[in-house]
Amino acid sequence: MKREDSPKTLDLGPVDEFADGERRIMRHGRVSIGVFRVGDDFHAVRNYCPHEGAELCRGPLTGTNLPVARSGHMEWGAEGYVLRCPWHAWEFDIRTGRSYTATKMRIKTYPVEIREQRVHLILKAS
Amino acid sequence: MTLIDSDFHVTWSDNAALAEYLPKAWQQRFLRGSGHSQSGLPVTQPFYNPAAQGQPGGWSEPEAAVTWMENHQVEKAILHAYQAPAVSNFGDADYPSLLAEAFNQWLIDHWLDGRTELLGTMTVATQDPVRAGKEIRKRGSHPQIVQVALSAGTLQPYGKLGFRPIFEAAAEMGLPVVLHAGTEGVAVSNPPSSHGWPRNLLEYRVCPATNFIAHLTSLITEGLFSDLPDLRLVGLEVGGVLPLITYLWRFDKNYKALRSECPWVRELPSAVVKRHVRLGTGSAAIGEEHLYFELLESFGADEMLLWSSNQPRWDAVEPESDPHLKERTGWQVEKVGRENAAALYGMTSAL
Repeated sequence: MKREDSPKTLDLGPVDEFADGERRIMRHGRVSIGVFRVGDDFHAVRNYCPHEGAELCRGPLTGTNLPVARSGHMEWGAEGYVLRCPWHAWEFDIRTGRSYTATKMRIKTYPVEIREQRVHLILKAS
Repeated sequence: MTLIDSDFHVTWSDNAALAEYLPKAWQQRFLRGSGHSQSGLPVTQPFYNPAAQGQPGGWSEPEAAVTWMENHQVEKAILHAYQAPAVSNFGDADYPSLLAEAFNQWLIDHWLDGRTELLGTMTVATQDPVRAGKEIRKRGSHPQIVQVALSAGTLQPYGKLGFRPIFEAAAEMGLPVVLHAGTEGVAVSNPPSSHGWPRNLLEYRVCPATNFIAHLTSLITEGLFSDLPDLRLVGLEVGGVLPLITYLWRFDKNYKALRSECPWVRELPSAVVKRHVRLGTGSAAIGEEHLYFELLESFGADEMLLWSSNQPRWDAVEPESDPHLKERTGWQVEKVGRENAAALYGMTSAL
């Protein structure tokens, strides 16, 4: 009989103790993960830049100039969702793990769920 | 396989032939000052002038050129007058515009009309970009004018806003813009090395790749290929594809970090280059042949190379001995020899 795997979760504590704009970096086994609160949304990404392995989640969480159709136009957006690597400024959107470079390059993201007013980080099924 | 030769040089046999195409008011100036810019600086560097060494700078009569083509299974040839784009390196504006227009009409009358196997490269004077744009729309509408040559040597990189009317007109007319090495450092352009003047011809001859790459970087980051999806750029004798490969590795890497500075560049620079840029095979430094082709194949260079003989100049090649045209596994020789050029110059239906 097949064993049903249930996703491993980490209980990060009460929602109201996780301030808007706060980030927490935690280690689970050999993996370091950053959890971010943006307004009422929570996002978690692996703390590892695919470029040269820097601790991505220690970089600024900001916005970026979104892709535009014509030169000379700037459209600031994704405010609060763009994680910029502290080493070489590579950018990733914490909602999707994707960059804005039209490539397949991405960082690993993890679901975050609120259960009974507590923040749970959902890890890969064991 | 019949070939398309994307770098086939022509020249006027004497200055009087070209002078006829100038208004009277300017003829004497041309005949007196020919070979020199109006700032008194040489247009053709003495150390780089094949004519001074008794060697041809280009075919001077169509019959000889066409005979060579027939003998080498070259079905179409793209004509270049090596020295024509140097008008953009004069310190003047009206005169070089007139001279470019005279050259273009001479090319049409003397080479193109009645010879459909010959296709022409017009030129414009970049000192007056608006007038250059008008000239591209006017003479660029001739069915055998297939591209616009700009000087490789400039005072600014080509992505700068001032050059826009030229690139807009070229894209509108479906004419690729071509940069042919050789005008770097000419007259009032910047020195051919980014650090100044070379001491000798050897140094000069290895500089064009960096110069071309500087223009290309500017065109990409300033958004010319984003704004003008139909724009195509051709590099001839600019060091071949090899320098581009490692340059694009670095460009792609830095783009990932700094793309927010130019958000109109919406994909990797290497993807932009593969779609918008074509390079002639002339002046490629092959070195170790198996390694050279391994690197080119890894880059997919057979999708972007244009076979170029550079005839009849002293460093020309013949198709029978050109390694780019040898059959080899994983190498699309028909694309290099013909199809890439046919697609670029809109000749697919004619072949």
